[in-house]
Amino acid sequence: MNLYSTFNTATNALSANKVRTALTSLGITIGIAAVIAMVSAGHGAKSKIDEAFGALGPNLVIGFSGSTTTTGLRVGADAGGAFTREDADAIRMKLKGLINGCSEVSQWPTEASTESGSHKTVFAGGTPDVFKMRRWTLREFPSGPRGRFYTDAEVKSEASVCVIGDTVVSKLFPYVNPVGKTLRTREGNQFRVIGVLDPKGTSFTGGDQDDCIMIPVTTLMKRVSGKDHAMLLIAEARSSDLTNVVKQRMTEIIRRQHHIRPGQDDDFYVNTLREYASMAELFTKTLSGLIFAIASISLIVGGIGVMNIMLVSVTERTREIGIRLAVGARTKDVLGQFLAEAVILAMIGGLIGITLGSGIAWIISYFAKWEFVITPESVLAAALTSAAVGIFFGFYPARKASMLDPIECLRYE
Amino acid sequence: MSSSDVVIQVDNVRKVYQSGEIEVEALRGVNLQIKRGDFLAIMGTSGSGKSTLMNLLGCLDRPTSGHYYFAGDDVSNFNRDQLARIRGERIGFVFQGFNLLTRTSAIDNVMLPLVYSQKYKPKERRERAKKLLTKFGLGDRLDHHPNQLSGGQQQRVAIARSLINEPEVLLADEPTGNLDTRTGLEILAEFQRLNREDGQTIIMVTHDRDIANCCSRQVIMTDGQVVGDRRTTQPRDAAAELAAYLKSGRHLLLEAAS
Repeated sequence: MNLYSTFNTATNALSANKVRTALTSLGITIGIAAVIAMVSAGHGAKSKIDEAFGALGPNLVIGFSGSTTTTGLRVGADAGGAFTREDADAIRMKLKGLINGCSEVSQWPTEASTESGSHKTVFAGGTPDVFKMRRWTLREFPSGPRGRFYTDAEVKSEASVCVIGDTVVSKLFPYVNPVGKTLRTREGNQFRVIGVLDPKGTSFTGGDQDDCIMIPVTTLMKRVSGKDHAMLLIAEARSSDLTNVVKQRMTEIIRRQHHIRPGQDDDFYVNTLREYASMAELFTKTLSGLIFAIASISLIVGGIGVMNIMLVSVTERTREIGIRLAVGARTKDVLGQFLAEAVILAMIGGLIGITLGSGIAWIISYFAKWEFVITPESVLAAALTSAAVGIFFGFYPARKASMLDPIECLRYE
Repeated sequence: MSSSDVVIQVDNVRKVYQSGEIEVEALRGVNLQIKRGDFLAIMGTSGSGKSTLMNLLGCLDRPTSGHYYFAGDDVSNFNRDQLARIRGERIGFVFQGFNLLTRTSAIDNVMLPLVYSQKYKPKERRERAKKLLTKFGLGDRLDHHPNQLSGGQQQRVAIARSLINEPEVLLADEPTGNLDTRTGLEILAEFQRLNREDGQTIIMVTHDRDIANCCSRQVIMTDGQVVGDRRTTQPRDAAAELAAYLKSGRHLLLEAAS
């Protein structure tokens, strides 16, 4: 019996019991759909995490105000934060060879307005190093003045200048080049826009990175918030190998700056972005593993379903087997026929699963706003897996069918 | 008569079944020689061993002891697949219950043995099956499924299937058992024509003396042994009887009654 005849016979038998075929395939469908959706979502999540951390600057080392202690988490010594200009200067001086820049960063909520309207947003105060470390770039306008970042001199002089993000531009300057224009805050301060940032999109935590007004940190603290300590201290290591060294040295320097004696708890803690990235990766991996386990169980259950239905089918068709044996079917012909049925049954499940899984992956990617990727490898792997399930679970019933005695089969009612 | 004319030679064949603790001896030393062109009836009551002998002759089973030569080959010790090959290419089966594949069209049923023997290309298989079905008057019912055909038509499909591989021996197990008088006569006439015109060797198992009288030779079995082997002195002519039957109009009465 050749491949074509085998395939034909198998599909005829399966199409005679359409509902049964569909229900039996369902287990495999779910398993394969889960695998396809998981692999695609895993790709999407990973590329999104990579992109997010890449946008932040992968070698960032961040000091946070507050600390974890033996008694639990203690948030910021006061709402103003833990870091000063002097802390940043000390780090910049002492770690010169290790870092690309360092800046204290402070944030403050505000509502800014122009003739076009008002918009609730946030001030981000820093030094020019922030632009460099966070990989911010300036937007070019086809006409009008070109923008720029604020300078160290403007930080020193607490200048009322700002660089604004894309979201702020769309709310406050929807039709014009904002560079050179002025915006007003709720508190009555006026800021001159000196530059516009290229959009970055949402961060990996879901926040809109383009919804901010960047001003010199000194201006923020002296003129807006009235605080004298910043919540964050950001430094960028020169290379990824150096992040841990920078983290350690930063901690030492800040302890000295804050006059913290050995054994005493810090009023801050330092983390590298890489640690967050690996945490996010671990989370994704754990989730993938979980879905993979569920998919495996579903495939096994689906496979057992295939085996069960094939055993029923062999019994039901005992007489057919007898007729086939009487007219010359050999052991391998009968084995092949029932094995082909099991494999086709499983692969129908697999193909529907691939389609369904792709659909689910697309929906996830749509809502999670990441790239929708279905690799040919995962489709091939899914198809082969379902075929393998069919062979594995179809073999026993097929073997049973092929070993039947022709006389007993012909006598079977 | 040369030995090449002998198509079946059975030497002292015994067949013992294990039925729980008890051994049942279904065949107790059967000797039989069948020549090419024979039209043979194997007769006997139920339990006489005729079905067991039929299964052995059809290579569906193997003897417990003794030898079975099929066209010179000792097939007593053939394995499962070797026997399957003989069944597929050199023996044709016609059963009492037709044994057609129900979900399969007439032509596909007829082609089934060719699918396994692989002697012909798919296109040739179809041609041959079509030719045979046309020969048996079913040329316009090629794509009918068995449940769309009458009993006589189904049995003719089965005969076409049994002949598709040009077998050396045609084995028929109570081929008219499920058919009415008229259709039974039609089938018997078909067998007689095959035997007379094509020289087809036919072995027919029956318990009915009248049907056996259509054959040229009768082998009688009792308790697993051959107890009689004789030529039919004056074989019935099924075709002539059928013509007379139709002329008498009895079938019309029967049809009206049913």
